[in-house]
Amino acid sequence: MTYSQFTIKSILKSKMNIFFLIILPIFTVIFLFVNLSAQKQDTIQYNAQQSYSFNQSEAQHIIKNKKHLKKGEVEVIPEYVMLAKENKAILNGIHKNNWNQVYSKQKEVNNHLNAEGNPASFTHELKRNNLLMDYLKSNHIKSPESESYPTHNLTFNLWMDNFIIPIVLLLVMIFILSNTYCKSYSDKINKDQLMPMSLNQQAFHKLTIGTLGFSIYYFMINVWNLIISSIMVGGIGFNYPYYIHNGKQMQYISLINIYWKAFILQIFSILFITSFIYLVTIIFKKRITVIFINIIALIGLSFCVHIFDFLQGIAKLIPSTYFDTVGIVSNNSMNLINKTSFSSGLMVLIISSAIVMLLIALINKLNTKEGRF
Amino acid sequence: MALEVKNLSISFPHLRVINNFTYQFNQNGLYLFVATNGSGKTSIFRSILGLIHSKNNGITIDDKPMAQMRRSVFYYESSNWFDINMSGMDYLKLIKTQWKSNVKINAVIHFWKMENYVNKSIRKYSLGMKQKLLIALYLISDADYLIMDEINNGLDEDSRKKLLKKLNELSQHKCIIISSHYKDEVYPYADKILTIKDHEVINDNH
Amino acid sequence: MTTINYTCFLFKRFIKNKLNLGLILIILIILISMMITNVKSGNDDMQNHLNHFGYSQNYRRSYHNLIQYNNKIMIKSNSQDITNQLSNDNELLNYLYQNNIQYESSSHPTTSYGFMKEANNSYITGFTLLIIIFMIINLFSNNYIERMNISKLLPMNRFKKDFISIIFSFLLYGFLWIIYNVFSYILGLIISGSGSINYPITAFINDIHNGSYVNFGSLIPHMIIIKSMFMLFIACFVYLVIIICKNRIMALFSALFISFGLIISSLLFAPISRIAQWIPFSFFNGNDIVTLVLGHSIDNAKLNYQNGILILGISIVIILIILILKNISVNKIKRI
Repeated sequence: MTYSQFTIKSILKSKMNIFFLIILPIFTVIFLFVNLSAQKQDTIQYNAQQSYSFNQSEAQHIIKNKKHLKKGEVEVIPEYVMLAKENKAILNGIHKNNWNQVYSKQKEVNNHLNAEGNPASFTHELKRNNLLMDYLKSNHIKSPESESYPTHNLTFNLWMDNFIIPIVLLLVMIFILSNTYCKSYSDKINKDQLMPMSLNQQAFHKLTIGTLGFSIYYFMINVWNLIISSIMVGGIGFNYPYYIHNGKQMQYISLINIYWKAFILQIFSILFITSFIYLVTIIFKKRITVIFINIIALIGLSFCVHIFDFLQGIAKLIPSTYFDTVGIVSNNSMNLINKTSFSSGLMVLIISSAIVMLLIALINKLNTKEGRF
Repeated sequence: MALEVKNLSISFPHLRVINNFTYQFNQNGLYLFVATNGSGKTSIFRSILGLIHSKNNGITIDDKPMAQMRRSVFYYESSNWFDINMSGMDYLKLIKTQWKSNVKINAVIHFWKMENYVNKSIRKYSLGMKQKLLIALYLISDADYLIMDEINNGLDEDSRKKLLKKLNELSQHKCIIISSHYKDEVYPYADKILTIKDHEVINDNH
Repeated sequence: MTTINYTCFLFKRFIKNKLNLGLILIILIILISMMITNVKSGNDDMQNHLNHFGYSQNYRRSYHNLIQYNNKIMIKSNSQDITNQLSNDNELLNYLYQNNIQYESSSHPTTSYGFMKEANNSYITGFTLLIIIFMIINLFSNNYIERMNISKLLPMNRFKKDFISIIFSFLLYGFLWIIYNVFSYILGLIISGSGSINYPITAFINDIHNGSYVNFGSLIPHMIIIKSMFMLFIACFVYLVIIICKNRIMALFSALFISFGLIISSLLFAPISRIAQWIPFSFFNGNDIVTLVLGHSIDNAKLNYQNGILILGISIVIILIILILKNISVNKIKRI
């Protein structure tokens, strides 16, 4: 049995590791149900229905109480009536499966709502929705689903890749790899020194297993997401729109353009995470300390870059910024719009992985020199 | 006064360990468990103490369940159980207080020549030092039933002799249940020998 | 006598673990770096405006002048955002004027009370939660070896042992919280003095959508009560997780995953935000609960003090019942 085979067996024979690994597949099913239930209140039809009912009842209420109301309050009646009409037209379009009409009418509603004096965030949302309507119309896409809670195969998988997988995968990697790498240490003594193999060779084997193993795992989770959502909900076209920032401009592009870049960035993130965990292990050796430091340095920092101003300035240079793969590729990463890019991500992750590996080699060399090889 | 084990059976998934062990350990005497590795000595001790699940019709001391008689028994399986950040003295003090023992800590420390290291953290102890601390805990507890699993492991010959002499002395008024790889050394002091064969515990007439 | 000594043993076990001291030190270092950042950041926009209106000569008059200036801009402005911002500023200035309090930046405070408020923000509170979970698990998971609870061997009533362990964890959390609050207070005192306990903070008590300024000092008793309840809940929860998992790494993973998973989910996912008032972990930051700041940010008005007390209380009782039932069932099995 080779050293690598032995290490893989020691990972897979631990029930605890298996428990960690099945969390993500279970989450797929849970979040698919969550999204299925949440999306009901986030569709064009639902919004149009709500808006239609609201505007109609408001108009009727004002007409009924016309005598008791002031002049300014009565003047808004035509606006309510018009919005009710437009929303009714959207609902009719949906019933007739005339989606071009739906998208055009939705844009009209948005433009009516986009009055002067609205809060900037509301105006921004309306503009974004107009862009979505344009994209859907020009690409002849029918019956669009909720943007916030997608359930179809490609959109749901990308949603999982955006919100759930990066953080859960990172946590699972920290626990499994710290646990596995720390097994070599007993009372801070590296028992694997006794193997007829150099420390660098051992590091190479362990880093390969970590990176390759979790890349395969990531790939399999994506496949699992696609299969489950395809079976339970169904498929969606490669040209389905995905919201991005192109510079400071909002834009919708085909989601397939996001996929491959996010996948590549995730693989390099896995390489960096594995190397970093190994580096922390050979420095601190004690399991609980290693886990704590990894949680702070990897998870903590990946959150902090979105929160703290002083970190946002240097976020581009911090590898953990790029764990938010879909956010980086789509340039939607919270508070980091236009501060990062796919290419800067590749560069930073590759360089930092190389630096970490150099540090590992350096520490191994020092240990060998001191006779602790 | 006796420790009674009634119909104790131990099994793990796909593995039968002990079948229907019934025995009465009297209040004094030295009981030696002899068996090959993996035959279930430690599992018997653990199940008597309720650390692992077992099927039984009662494990009692003076007809009271073991859970109510914790102060009458002392069992600390291995020196690996120690929290290595703590010192030997911390453990000795805890056991003395918990078991409400009258045995003087200093006397035990002196007996096992632990003065030089007992206040240091256990991480600095050698295997022999840890084993001596483990024995000291048994002595400090002053419990009526001392259950010892391979307690003379890691001790040098002189220390083993010293331990056996002490156990022989204690067995006059306490019940000592012991398992050991140094069978020949313990044999002369044992009052009863129990062997495990084919999942059965056999009372070997001594 | 025995109970005191078991507690002492736990205390020694805690103190003698260098990791625990390291964790406390990390919090203190973070607080120092936060203070340095605050001091370095200098005056904010509001302070600059006030200086322009003669803050150093007479700060009350500068409030009055700035309010009038803001009113003029609001009349001319077409932007709703600017109007909202200025009327918000005026409300604060008016409060400071009425109560004769000196202005202090809310984002970069340096006085004791101001800095204590900042030290209790969600990030530091979350970080403290992470640390206490590590500490409690590190302390009690030592009781489990090969999934066996070796602390059973101690001649001590199980309920009593569970009780001592939970209270010890609770006190540890309380100690940690007091340490960093006292440290924040001292840091502030050294740098800029104590400040005013009556300084206004934004709260959404009357209207979840529109904030108003309330007296910080008046909210402190409620903050302490809900924080204490949360501490007790965490002490119970982590202890239960240890008992169920019987393994340090597994317990650590489960406790972190459940607690932070639910906290983050309730902040990010609307379906979970809607039911956040039923999740005891949502009440992790007492300040944001009492002021309803959290409820405002996730649009859930039910995330308030009263519900916090209710849900945390129920959760604590449920966990305690589980622990009691577990002990009773274990005792029954042993008697068979």
